[in-house]
Amino acid sequence: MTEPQRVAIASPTWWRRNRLALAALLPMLALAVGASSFRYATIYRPTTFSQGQISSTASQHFVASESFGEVTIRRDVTISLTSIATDRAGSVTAAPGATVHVVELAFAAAPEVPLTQCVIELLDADGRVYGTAGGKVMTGTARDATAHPECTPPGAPGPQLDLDGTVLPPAGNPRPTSWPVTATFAMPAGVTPVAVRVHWGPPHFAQLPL
Amino acid sequence: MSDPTPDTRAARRRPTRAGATTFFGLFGDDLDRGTIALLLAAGLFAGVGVTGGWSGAAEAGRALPVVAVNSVVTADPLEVTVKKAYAADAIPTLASAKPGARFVLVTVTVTNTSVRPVDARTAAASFAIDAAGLRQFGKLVAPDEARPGLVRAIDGSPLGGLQAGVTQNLALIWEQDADESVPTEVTVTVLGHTWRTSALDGSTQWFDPAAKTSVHLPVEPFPQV
Amino acid sequence: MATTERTLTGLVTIAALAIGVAVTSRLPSADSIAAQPFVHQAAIGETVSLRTGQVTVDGVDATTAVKQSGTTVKTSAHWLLVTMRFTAAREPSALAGTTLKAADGRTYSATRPLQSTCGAGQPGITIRCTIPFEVPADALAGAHLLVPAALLGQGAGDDLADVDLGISTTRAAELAAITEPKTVTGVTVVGAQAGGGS
Repeated sequence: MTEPQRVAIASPTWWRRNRLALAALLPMLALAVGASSFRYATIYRPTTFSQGQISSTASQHFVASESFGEVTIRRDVTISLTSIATDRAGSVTAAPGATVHVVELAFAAAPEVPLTQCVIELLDADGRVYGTAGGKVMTGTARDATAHPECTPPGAPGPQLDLDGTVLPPAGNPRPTSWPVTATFAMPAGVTPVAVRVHWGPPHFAQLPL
Repeated sequence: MSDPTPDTRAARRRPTRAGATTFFGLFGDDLDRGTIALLLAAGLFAGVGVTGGWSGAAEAGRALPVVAVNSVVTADPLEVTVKKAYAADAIPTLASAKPGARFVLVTVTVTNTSVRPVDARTAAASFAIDAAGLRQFGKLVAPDEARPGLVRAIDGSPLGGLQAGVTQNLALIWEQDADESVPTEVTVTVLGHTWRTSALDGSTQWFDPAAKTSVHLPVEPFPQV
Repeated sequence: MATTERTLTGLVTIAALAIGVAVTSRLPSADSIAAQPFVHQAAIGETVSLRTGQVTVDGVDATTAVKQSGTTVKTSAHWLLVTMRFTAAREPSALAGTTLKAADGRTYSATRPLQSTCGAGQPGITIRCTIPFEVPADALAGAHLLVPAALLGQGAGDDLADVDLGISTTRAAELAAITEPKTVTGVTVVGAQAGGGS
């Protein structure tokens, strides 16, 4: 008859007996979440536009490094918005129901900064991204010369990058310290662009309000 | 088992054979001699397999079958008929003259017998010739690394891919160093591939080129048009 | 332990391992489940909303010689010409990696030298593309078009439109009889719907 009594006294609740293990569960849960987020850290963040340098003024000093294996290049450039217009389409015809927007930017950078192969995009209030290649109507077999604008002055691109990221010596004329860049977009009529984005591939980008 | 008994300490000083007997004696409770022999045999068998010993025994001495010109050859995923070989300094509309180079052209009829497309790269890797001094992108390469250019005979356009169940006549064009003498005969080797998933990156592609058969062809001068 | 008991234990262990291996080899792995596409079934004229944009297959045609960009590309089989419309959703994108799936499961790709992608798509602005597939006559009837949301991954773990092209045996015979050359424009910009990109 003593047996049941002893059990009742000597046995605290299951929660109390396992309180240390239960307390250790919380940091373990945090560690498990951290450890399983490696895809976020090593895949998603570096391959999406996760690191914006967003300006609230018409100018942005953009500094970003990009690594190609052992080679690391550094882009240090000041990008300023000069103007945006919808009445200067030039040779470009927008698709039916679309409007042409011409964005004039000014770039300023030291001559040794590699700036070729850039991408210029417009963003609307809903965060949709518009490129320079789509939405334009070409006549016959003509190619759209405004589809892929360069962020470097014509004939003086400055240093270029090899496929492995090696910086090739500047070709052509020496690049001036500042120069204009024009990007032509076709966007659905009624959509108002609110920002311009300049990048050389994710994750870094420069963004200026319009 | 873990505490060294006087027996095992003594065993270290005995000759090796007696040592081995004592060593196995330690497991006497769990393993008898028969089981140990069986385990050793299984280990040996697995070891030979892991090092590729069994496949080597099967492949040894199996020569590549040689088939006659114009006979249908199966080399998965393709069914190939090797027809003619030509040599020329330039081939009208297909290969214009290059300094220091001549072209060896082999005509084939190809059908993709698999259930999916065969890309042009795999199609090119399905053929090799034994000519000396083959070049690719202006550089000398080994005969088994020289990939021919693939041109569709029907319209002279470059081959983009071989679609399942579509039979095509192709011209395979190799570039040969002009310093080599013009070949009078070439052996065309047809290679097969296996559709499998890569153990490295998980992609599924045509892998493992393996020579299936070869055809000896006389090389003729390219007919003037 | 008695010898029979030991033997029995060994056999039971081996049997349990064998059953375990058999079961796990038949269960799908986490990776294969993650790689399954989100399939959207549709028919001709129906619009499918993929992650990257809306796609509508307008119809099919056939020929044995496609004229594009000044060249004529012929086939000993048939070119099945699939015309579709694409409106990018949130960012510039192109349809690529579109494949044709025959009723018997064989798949066909669009390859060079003809245009095989549909781009560049601008959000809210519709483009129309015709993609030629080289197929034997027996692959026409019952064919489906598979359109992945993006080329990368070919729809694995992503949206995939599976469009029944509505080719009956009679229609297949009609298509297979067409031999006149057809001019195929890779991409045509249709335009934006009124009200913009919403």
